This record gives sequence, structure tokens and C-alpha cells, in this order.
Amino acid sequence: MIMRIEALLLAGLCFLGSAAPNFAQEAEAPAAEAPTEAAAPAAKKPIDVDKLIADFNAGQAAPRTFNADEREWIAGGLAPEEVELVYKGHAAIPSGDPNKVIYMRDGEIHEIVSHAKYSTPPVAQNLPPFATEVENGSFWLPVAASETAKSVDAMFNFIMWTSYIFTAIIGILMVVFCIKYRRRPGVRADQSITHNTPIEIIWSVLPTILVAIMFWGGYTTFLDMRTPPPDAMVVRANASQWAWNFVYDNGVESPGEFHVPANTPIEMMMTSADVLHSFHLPAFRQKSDILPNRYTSIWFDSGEPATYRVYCSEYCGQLHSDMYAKLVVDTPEDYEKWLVETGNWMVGEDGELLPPLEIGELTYTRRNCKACHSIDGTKGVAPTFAGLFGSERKFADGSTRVADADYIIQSIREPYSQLVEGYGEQMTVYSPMLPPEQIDGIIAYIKSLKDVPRVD
Amino acid sequence: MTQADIAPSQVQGRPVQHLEKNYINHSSGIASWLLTLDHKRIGLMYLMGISLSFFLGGLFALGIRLELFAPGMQFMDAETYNKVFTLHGAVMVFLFIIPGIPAALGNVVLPLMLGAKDVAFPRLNLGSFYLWLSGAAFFIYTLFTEQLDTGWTFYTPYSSSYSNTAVISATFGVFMLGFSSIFTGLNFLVTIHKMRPPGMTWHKLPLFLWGMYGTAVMQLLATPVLGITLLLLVMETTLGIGIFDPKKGGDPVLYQHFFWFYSHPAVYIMILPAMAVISEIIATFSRKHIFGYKMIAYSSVSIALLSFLVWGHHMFVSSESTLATLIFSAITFTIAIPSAIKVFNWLATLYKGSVSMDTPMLYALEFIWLFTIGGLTGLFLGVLSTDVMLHDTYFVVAHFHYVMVGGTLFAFFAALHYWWPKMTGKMYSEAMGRAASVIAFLGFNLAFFPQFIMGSRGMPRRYADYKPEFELYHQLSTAGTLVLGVGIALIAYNLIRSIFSGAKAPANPWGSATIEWECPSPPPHHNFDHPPLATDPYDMERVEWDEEVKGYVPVVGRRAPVAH
Repeated sequence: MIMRIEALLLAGLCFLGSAAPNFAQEAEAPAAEAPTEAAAPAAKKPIDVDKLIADFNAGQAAPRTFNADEREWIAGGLAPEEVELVYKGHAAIPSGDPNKVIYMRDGEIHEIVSHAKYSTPPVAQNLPPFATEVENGSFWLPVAASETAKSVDAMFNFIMWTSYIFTAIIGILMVVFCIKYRRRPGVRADQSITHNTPIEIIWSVLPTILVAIMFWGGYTTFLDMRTPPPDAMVVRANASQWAWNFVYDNGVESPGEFHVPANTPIEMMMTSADVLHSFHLPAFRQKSDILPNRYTSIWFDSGEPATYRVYCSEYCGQLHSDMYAKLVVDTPEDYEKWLVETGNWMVGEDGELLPPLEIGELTYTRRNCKACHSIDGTKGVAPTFAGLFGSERKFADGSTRVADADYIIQSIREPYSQLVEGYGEQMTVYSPMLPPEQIDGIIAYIKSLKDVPRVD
Repeated sequence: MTQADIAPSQVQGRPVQHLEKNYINHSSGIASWLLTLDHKRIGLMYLMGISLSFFLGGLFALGIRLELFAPGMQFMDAETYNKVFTLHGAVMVFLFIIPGIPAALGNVVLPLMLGAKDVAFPRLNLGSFYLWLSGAAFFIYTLFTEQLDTGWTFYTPYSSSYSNTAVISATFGVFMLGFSSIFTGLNFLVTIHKMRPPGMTWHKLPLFLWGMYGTAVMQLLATPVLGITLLLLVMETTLGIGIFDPKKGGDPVLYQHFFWFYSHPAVYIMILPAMAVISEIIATFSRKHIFGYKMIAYSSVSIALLSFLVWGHHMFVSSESTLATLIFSAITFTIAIPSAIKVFNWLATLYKGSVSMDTPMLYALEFIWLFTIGGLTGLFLGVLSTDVMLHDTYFVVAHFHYVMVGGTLFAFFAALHYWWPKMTGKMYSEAMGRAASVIAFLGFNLAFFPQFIMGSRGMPRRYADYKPEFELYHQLSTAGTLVLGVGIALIAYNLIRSIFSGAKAPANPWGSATIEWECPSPPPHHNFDHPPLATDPYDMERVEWDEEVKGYVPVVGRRAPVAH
């Protein structure tokens, strides 16, 4: 660790005389060599690359051929339709290592390596490394995706130019006065200038007029931003420590990612299951805190099809900086298709419900159980799932109980009724929200991890 | 008081420059410091305490910047990072910036500036130092137990129900520090009201004292609200009373209202003394009467009063009602005007002055530049539409660092270099002082200007990790922090070295016309032999350079004789 700090310090000092990108790589080098004790990803079914490619090409006018690298990415879990995005830097290359993000920039492969000891499994691993809206934006601002965003930008630019002008005037006068009236022998300061009423009135009134314009312009745009049109489509956002769940009017739920049809006013109705969060959507210049005891709402006009990043911008605890979501603006057809697919995630290709174990494994990711409960036996914010089933649990009140199916159901529905010794009240209460298929799935999943050794 | 303490006030027509017995050596032993009622000694003890706190907070800052040097986790995990940014903020705000200028420098200077022997309540003054010390002790305890990861704002319900860190000991620490601040404010308020020397009418009050007066009003009236809020937070955490946590029937936004009702005035508790220092320094080093005295004085008081009415602008996106946002945004702009007026007045003071670029002046000019940027970027946050996108991003981080570090810290350095000869009786190296100042200024801008850009491009604050599109800005920022660190280390070296090997300071090295420069450097235990008579504090022609004492002495015949 000391070596690492020294390397960074050295790099920081070198910075003054060198270009940024070079030494960024120097600084990353030691981390790349550091031993990675990454947990092996949960055993996955092998991916049939040929079949995925065939399925993909079936939907294409002209079939695409995939080179060896691309086939490897697909085998690593990348969807064939995302291959093109890799070249733009908008999709990461599967690394197989939770501590490593690989992405492409201008044809070159880059890596972000987290030191295995300090890295927490990222919640939003599949999120593109680069946000299009930031990358294509101006010097100060990301892309403005709606008319409202443009009128916010107009105000931003007005204040920015006012600031440039005032900073320039103040800076220039300061330097000029300091040089012109520098202390010289025999030259005395002019003591007669102690006040000048007309000038003082001017420099009080002029800024007052300017800020009055800013205030009024800002307020009227703000009213627009806070008043959704009556025909807006409502999407609910439920935030919890450190995950997003989006719920549509027809009951379809989508964790971590939500799609909306293009050119439609979208109203977000938001609430939190635990602490404060904030829905921050820079491309639309929108933001609102999300509170555990009330609904807050914002709206935006979705505009043309594109992908945007949603940040949590209110500090919410350990994994705050991993609490991203993805917003995809689709054509109406794509949107309908996505909604049906997402609504039917528990249904297999044969039209039948998936087996409980598979539902459980998917639920574990979708409901973000993985943020707190590990499956490799390591201790996290909450007890690990590994070796849990059938073991004896010791509770804070001193009582014990064997972890059977009943116990798991109770822990999901009323997590605080029996708290395991050494853990706090962190768990989201799922009593009304988790359908029986998913609870059964989680039980099956925990059962399947029965023999994995645990550390806690 | 022994005979040796009382020295003739004049030697050959010039005021005494140095005394053999001064407040530092007139008595010795640990107890003579720890139990002292002398405002100057208490001020020095404060100065040591807050300097150590600043060093600690600085280490945390370095930790933050090094971790953020590259995307991915480098040498801290997310939990550690959260603790480090929280402790950086909490230590810097509560232990350093708030007590910085008023308690440390104000304690030394305020009674001297009034020609008084001490503050109105010397015992209360020592008491508030010990309250500060116990607050600091709670923080140290917090550091050695489970630390703190709530952010310096202690937002509920995370702080009351979710955090597994030492929230209770930290809030108790802040509670103690709050009382320290209240007592200091009370003391200064009474001292300024009751202990002004003959001739010092309200309109002859030096602007530093106007600033301290406004600060004292805010400390006295706003800090109790913080105390009550934190006590409620502790009660919710320990007794489970539902006040802020909705799970227990409380409301988290209520906490934010309470918290910012104190913490917005606290922002001005930090900046008003800084502005007050700058007013003194600009006038002194321009050798010219301050421009628009009344406007500056009244703007201090109006800032102090208006600061109580704008807390809601921290909550524009916290589900605040549209009507409330309208009102808070409007009042926020009214507070921008007095701040702008001060900047214009400082500039006008330079005009046709006789400007010398000594170290304190260099800091003051850097302050004007940094505070201008800090103030103007505040407009983006006061305007409702632009605040929505900038709220809780690095834009806000950059804005308040420009105001608190570029503003208050640079003014603190200005004040420290300005009054250092008076406090210690030693002159520091002017060349090294100027070099350190320029290095710190450049480092600061490199560290924080890129944060504006990444903030307006969407980078949220309090992120342990970030996406590669923000990498360049973070790297610039880290590099700037290292440069700033070098500058600050140089400042510390220069000042500490001066104690051992600096030249003896004259009574009035800079040519200021305020009263504290009339007593020898360092002052004797009782400050003045006779209560001085106050006239216009900015009548610079009242003193002139004297080659023999290497300092300024009163012009014979221009000043009314000392009253007996």
C-alpha cells in the first residue's frame, strides 16, 4: 500500500511537467500486477456463441460476421447487438474479473483495475464506461436531450457570460491598480477618495438588475421542470441501498435499467425504501431527492432514441458511487418489445415458468441481493448465502434457530423480526413486493449454495 | 504586576517597539498557560489547536484526492473512502474554519484593536477554549473507535438508523464545539458593545470589528439550533424517539431544515471574518482610507441578518414546495449584493493608493480573485433551474471550496501573516512568504477549477469511484492538491522558522492606523499602559515610516495626545 501511495505521489508531481494520459497508465501499472484474489464468478451455463450469433443475424437485413475477439466477448457474456457499442466505448468488454473493467477508446483497449483488497463488487457492472451525453457535450455541459434542458442551458450560459465579464473586469482592474499605483518613494496615496455616492449606487443597482433577471428566468424554467404535462407517462422509481427498481403501470418491474418510448413526456414518481437517494439525470438537467416517507416527482421529455446514465447523487452509504441506472429511450416498437420481454423474465423460451433455481439466481441479481449477501462465503453488509441453508443461526437476542425454508421466508418478509447477531437493520422489507415464485427461487438458490464454505 | 512590566510608553518621542517582558514570557510554567485568562494566550492556544486540526483535515483531503487519482479503487475501499471524506469535512468545518479566524486570531486581536485589557468575560473565554478542546477530544475518540461515515451534514435517516459508525460521539463533539462558538460570540458581542475606547463611535469602529460583530450575532443566535438538532438526533439514535426517521414516524426533511437553519449562517460565520480581515489589509497595504466604509460596515450586518433567511436554498431538490423555493431563491440573491459591494469597495480602495505587495496583501488580492469566482459560481446555485442539475455535483464542491478555502483559508493566511509580528514579535521571511502564497494560489486553482467542469458535466459528489470520462479532471485536481500541499507546508515552515530566527518585529510593521499596532510587539500582559484614544481607523497619514525602527510611528502633532 505504501508503494502505491508513493507511486501516486510521484505521478502527481510528475504531472506538472508531463501530459496526463501517460502517467495515468504508469499509475495504473502496479495495480494491474497486484494479485487478484477475485472471487470466482458463480458457475454459469456455458454460452452457445454460435446460437446467439445466429439469433442475432436472424433479425438483421445483412448478416454480420464476428471475428475471433468478438466471439470471445460474446462467450464472456456480451450480447451480439452490443458488440458495435464496444468500439464506441459505450459497452464494456467482459473481463471475467469483478475488479477489472475493460473498455475501448479510439481503437485502443483500456483497463480500470481496482485493487482486489479494496474493491467491492460493483452493483452496476454492465453500465457503459462512457456516457454518450457527457462525451458529446460541450466544455461545460453534457448533451441537452430536451427543450427544457436547452432552456436550462440558456440560463447557464447567461450566468456564465456574466461571470466571465465580471471576473475579467475585477481581475484586470486589480492587476492594473496594483501595477499602476504600486508603492514608489515620494508618491503618496490619494486620501481624498473615501466614497462616491453615484458610483456606489451604480454598482449596487446594476448587479441587482442582473440577479433579478437570473432569478426570474430560473424560476419560470424551474416551474416548467416541476410541472408534468397531464398526459405524461408515469414510471415509478423505487430506490433502495444501492439499487434502482423501476415499475410500470401494468406492473412490469425492471431493476437497474428502464426504457421509455421516444418523444414522450415521462413523469418519474419516486420513493425510497430506506435512506435518502437522489435521481440525477444530467442529460435532461433533472434531479430530485428521493425520500423514504413521501413521493417526489420530476418529468422530462424523452426526445430521440438514445441511452443515458442515471446517477444517485444523494450520499446513501457504502456503495453510493455504484448506484447507477440506465435509461434507454426506444422507438415505440422497441419499447413495446422490451416491456413484454421484461415482464416475462420468469418465463422460459418454451412459454413455461423457469425452474425455481434459475428464477432464484436471476432474482438474486435483479433484486440486488448481491449488493449485501455474498455467495462466495465472504462477509458483507449482510450474512452470506453460502452454507446458510440448514446451518444454525444465532440471533441478537441470544436465541438460535436452524435456517430452513420457513426461516428464509420470514427473513425476506420480516427481516427485523430476528436479527442475526452482529448485523444491523439494513435489509429492505420485501413483504408486499416479492411474489411467491421469487421467494421460492431464492430458497432454491440458497439451498444450492449449501456446501460453499462460509467465512463469517 | 511588577515594576519591570510597566515600561515608559515612549522612548525619544517614539512609541516603545519591544518590551523585555511581554505576554509570552511574563510568567512561565504549563499552568500559567492552561489556566491563563489572557486573551492573547488563549488565542495562541486556539491557534495551535486549530492548526493541528487543519493538518489532520488536510491529511484526509490528501487521502481523498489520491484515491480519486484514477477510476477504480486504489488503496481504500468504499467504506474507508466514505469515512475519509466525512472526517475531512467534519474536522475542517467544525474544528478549523468556524473557530479559525474568530477564536484564534480574533481572540488575540479584538481586545487589542479596542485598546482594551482583555475581553469582557475572560473566564468564559478560557471556558470556551476548553469546550473546543473537549469537542476536539470527542472527535479524536470518534477517530479511534468506529469513525464516522455520514458526511459532515449528518443527514437522517442514514445517520440515525443506518450508519454503523460512531455518530453519537461525533455529534456530541459538534454539540460541545457549538457551545464554544456561542460563548466566543457572546463574549465578543459584549466586548465590542461595552469596551470601546474613548472616541471609537460605531462609525469609527475598524471594519474587522464590524465583521466580528456580525459573526458574533450569528454565532449567538444560530448555533443553539444546531445544538438542539444534534441532541434530537442523539435521542433518536439512542432512545428510538421518532423525529427524523420515517420508520419511527419522523421526517428526514425536518432534519435538513433544522440543520441548515444553523449551517447556512455558519457559512457566513466562516466568510464574514474573512471579509473583515481583507478590508483591514487592503486599506493598510494601499496606505489609503478604505473606500465606502459605511457600505462595507452595513453590508457585514446585512449579510449577518439575511443569512438567517436563506437556509432553504440547500433544499431546492429535497421535495421543497415550489413557493418555498421561490422565496428562498429570491432572498438568496439579496445576499449576493452586499458581497458584490464589498469586492467593488476593495478594488476602489486600491485606486490611487500606494500599493505594496507584502505577503498579507498578496493573500488579500488572491482572496479577491478566488472569492469572486466562488461568489459568482454561487449564482448558478441560487438560480432554481440551474441548481437542479448542479445540486450535489462537484460544481457545488468546487463552489464551496472556492469560498471556504479560497475565501476563508486564504484570508486566514492573510490575517496570520498580517498579525504574526504582533502576536509573536518576529518577522518571517518575506520572500518565502510571497513564494508560498503564490504556490498555494496556483495549486488551489489547479485543484478546484477542474471540479467545476466535471460537476456541470454531471459528476456527483461523495463518490468513491467514478467513470473514466471524468478521469482527466480528477487527475488535474489531485495534482493541484499536491501543489497546494507544498505551498501550505512552506507557509508552516516559514512561520515556525521565524519564531526561532526571525528578526524582531517593530510595533507597527505595515503602517496600519488601527489601535492594536500602537502597543509593542509582542504586547505586554496588560496590552496598554493607558487607554488609547481612537480616531478614524483608516487615517493612514497618521503614521509614517521610520527608518530607525524599521516600522511605522505616529506622526508628531497629527494625533491627539493620549488620554489619562
